[in-house]
Amino acid sequence: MITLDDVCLSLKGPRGQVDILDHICLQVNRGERVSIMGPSGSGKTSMLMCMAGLERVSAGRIIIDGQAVHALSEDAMAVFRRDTIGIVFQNFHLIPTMTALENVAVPMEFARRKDAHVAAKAALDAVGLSHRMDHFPAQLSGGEQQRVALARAFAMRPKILLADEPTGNLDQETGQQIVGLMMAMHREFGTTLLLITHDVSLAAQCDRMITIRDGKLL
Amino acid sequence: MKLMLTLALRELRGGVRDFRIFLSCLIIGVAVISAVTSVSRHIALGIKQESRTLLGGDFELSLINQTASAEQLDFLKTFGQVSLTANMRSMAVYGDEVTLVELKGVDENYPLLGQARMQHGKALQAVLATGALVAEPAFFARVQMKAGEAIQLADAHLTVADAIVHEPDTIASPLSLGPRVMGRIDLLQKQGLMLPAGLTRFHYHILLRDGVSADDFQTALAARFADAPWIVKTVNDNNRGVQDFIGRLQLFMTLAGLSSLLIGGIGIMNAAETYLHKKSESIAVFKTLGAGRNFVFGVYLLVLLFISLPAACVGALAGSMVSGFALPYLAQFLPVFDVHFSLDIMAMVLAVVFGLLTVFTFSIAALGRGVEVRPALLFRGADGARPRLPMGKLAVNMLCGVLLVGTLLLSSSDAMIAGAFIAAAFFSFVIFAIATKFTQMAARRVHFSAPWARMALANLYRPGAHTLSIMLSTGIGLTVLISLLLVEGNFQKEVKETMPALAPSLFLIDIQPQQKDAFLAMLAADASVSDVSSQPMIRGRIAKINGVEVSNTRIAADAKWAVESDRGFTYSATAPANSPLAEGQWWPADYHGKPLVSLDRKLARGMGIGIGDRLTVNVLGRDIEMEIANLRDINYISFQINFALILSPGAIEDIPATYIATARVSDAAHEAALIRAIAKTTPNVSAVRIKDSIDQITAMVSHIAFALRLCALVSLVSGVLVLASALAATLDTRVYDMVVLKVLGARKADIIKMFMCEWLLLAGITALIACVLGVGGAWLILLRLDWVKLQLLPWPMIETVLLALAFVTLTGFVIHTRIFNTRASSVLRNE
Repeated sequence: MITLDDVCLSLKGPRGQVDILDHICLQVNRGERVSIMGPSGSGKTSMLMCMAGLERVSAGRIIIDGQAVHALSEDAMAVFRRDTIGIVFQNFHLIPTMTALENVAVPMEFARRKDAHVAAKAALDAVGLSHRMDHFPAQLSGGEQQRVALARAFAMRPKILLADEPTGNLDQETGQQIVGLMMAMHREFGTTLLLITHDVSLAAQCDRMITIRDGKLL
Repeated sequence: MKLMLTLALRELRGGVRDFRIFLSCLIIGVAVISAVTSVSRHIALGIKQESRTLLGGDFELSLINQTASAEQLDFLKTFGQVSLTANMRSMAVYGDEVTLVELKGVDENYPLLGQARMQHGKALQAVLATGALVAEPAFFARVQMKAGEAIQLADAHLTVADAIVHEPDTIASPLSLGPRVMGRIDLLQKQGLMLPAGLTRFHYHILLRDGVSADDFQTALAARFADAPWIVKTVNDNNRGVQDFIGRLQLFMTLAGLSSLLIGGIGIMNAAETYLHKKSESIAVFKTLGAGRNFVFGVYLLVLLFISLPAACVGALAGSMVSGFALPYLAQFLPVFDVHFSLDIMAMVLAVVFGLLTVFTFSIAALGRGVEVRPALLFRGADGARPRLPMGKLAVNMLCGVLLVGTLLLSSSDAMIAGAFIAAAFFSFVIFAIATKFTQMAARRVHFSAPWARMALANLYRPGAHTLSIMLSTGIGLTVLISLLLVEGNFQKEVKETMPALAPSLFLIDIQPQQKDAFLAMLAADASVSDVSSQPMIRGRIAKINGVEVSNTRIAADAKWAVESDRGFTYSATAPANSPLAEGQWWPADYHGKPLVSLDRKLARGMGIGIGDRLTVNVLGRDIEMEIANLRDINYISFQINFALILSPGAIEDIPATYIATARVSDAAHEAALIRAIAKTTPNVSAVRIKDSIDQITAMVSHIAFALRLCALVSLVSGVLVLASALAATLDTRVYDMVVLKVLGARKADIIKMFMCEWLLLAGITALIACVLGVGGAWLILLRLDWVKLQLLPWPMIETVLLALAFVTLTGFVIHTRIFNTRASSVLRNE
């Protein structure tokens, strides 16, 4: 499903070039749940960004579902991301001036789906937020915002879900609720899951754990 | 207070980067007001300082076609020095060139004050004493001759020895019938150029000797020669016309500056809101740590003051320096003389006061709301709700607004126009605010399937949308532009199309009664001449209104021209075709009763009189009382024969009159030939080429148009800055939004289409409203000027709509290039 072949990422910093990812090679099978662990600054988020096409690799190849995403143009990558990849962030990253319903509907609207809002309502229902559809993010708790983000990420039934510390800003109980929802959706849709976490118990719920340190896979 | 100051200074440690547009708007607005005020004060001061020189003394006594008697002259000489000048028109011939000139005769005492300057450095009297003439440089250019060559005036052949580049007692006028030619009075009389029945004005200039006051002189003059036919002019009388013109010009330029400042005020408001939004967390922290709301308000008020005051001073100084460059340039076009520049502290202080009042008027509300932020923000984040402005702060805001309005009214030369401007500005704000609400309501109701279109509409009404600021900032600048373009366009149309269509080719004056029949026959016999009309003219003065001396009657400023000096009257049995009756009835063709008069309606209004009221006209010492029978609407700029007063037959026919005539000539070659023929056969008749007058007016209108466009440009620059500030205020939000949308699958094209749709929609709606308001503004301006009626010209409005679309889109793209260049990962990272 996902292949990272000798992927390198170098960025220019104030004191010269910084190597973020150092010859990463990784294979993830369809439907697999993979947790990614490592200390802060090890390159976990950067690897996820590269897979999502939000960061351009300096070298190597990334093949997702048969598509060489490292070679796609920005627009083509946006379309690919819309149709194939769902992303959940630690800081939720909802659009503050859109309601919960609008936030969930956005990717479906870009896909020109006429039933975008209907489907968005259903998605919010599935995460238990049908009573908060018209609320803005600032009017929602952290857990509610993350549930909206989950609903948005799964709205297009993506083949892959990338989650960057999805419970990092939540209390334990709420975090567990979010993880529960994520796993339920994984089971329902067969989504391949890559999950960055510091939580060992969360990592234990995955099929495989990989560790990154200093930009290298251990 | 000390703590407030300390905290305010600490807040400034972050620099003024956040205030770039705030400061730009403030500096531009203050600079414009400083420049305008400085220019007009310099000119007014110059006029005041030179007022006696301009008059040629302390008093001027003017007579028409007669000089003072020996007794009168001796009387005048007992009070000081006396100099005699005379003005008349004549036709000057040089080779094939014939031109109308303003002939000025001077005596050996001229000038009593100031110095005349000659091109080749000789003294004026030394040149004139040789029996030669001098002329304005414009004369040499017009007839293409050099100094030292001879011209023909009537039957006289005289040398024009030098060019006079400065006459101390003359205000340069943008409009004149002909260039000035000057010679000694005795020479002109000897050469037969001052014909007894020609129109010659004699002016006695009196320079009072030490110890004699103006009041003493006036009292003695009135006592000794109460019935003398002269018109007495003082220094104040002489200046009034020019000062009125300068005052009006100053007012319009100040209003343009205030437009910039008002538009800048919106930018200031945006910048203040953005700054305080960024400071929300700091304010919440202050409150959490125990600071009260008013304390926090005071801190940030001081921050605004600390950055505004130096910026306003910079703007004021810059404006004053600009006026130093502007003055010599303006001196070419304004009716003034050499003006010497110096830094005008009062102008700068006034500009700074305007600037600070604008800052406070437009930022107090933002400040008041900004400090209402709840400390809960620190825990929960902003909930998007706009805090209410407390009543106390609202009162302070309104007080600042009242002070701003009051300062404008007190400092302006025409409170009515200033008041109209304030009302218009307030009305525009209200209209754009209403339009914004309607736009947002409509945007909520309209549905498009394309997501970029839906999001573009949604951006108009989302929480935190700057729709109102964008519409206001662009709209007011465009409204000013359209108003000025329409005013200018109507002027140009009148001058280039209407005037030439209505105006004759030649205006012929000083036709003597014994010449009239032969003269008109000559015109009739010329195949190239058509549409000849003629009218007798008698000169006199309006002496009384309803039996009361005009000096004791209240007359509106725009009607005073009719009573300040003598006027030409005529009589007619039939109504003139070119000035239709507005009120009342014309007398029968065979009327022979008490004197009746047909009067200009605007003049009647200005004098506060109407049908049935009485005017007394003094003609050659004889008072003639007449009853107003009807009122006419007169278009003076048609250049046709237009008399403000037309008397009924029998009232003044026994008084010697000259004749004036107009004629159309088929082409320029025939026109020149006819003028030469007139100069040869009837040298006393002055032929005014209307085309020359229209050309002068066209040139003047072009200069006015340039000034108007400059004013509009300044307003637009302010508008662009404010637009940029409004768009920039949303930049961070938009960057974030666009990154998230890209994560969710939006392509670059989707984002561009979304922006374009939003901006073009805003620009289009704003431009349409600006068109409507601009038409209203132009109508009001033209109504006040009362020169031409408004015609809707499509091109200025089309220009403005296209400009709006281009401005908004271009500014938006320039501001938002950052969006397209932002790396998604930099926004999305957790660290």
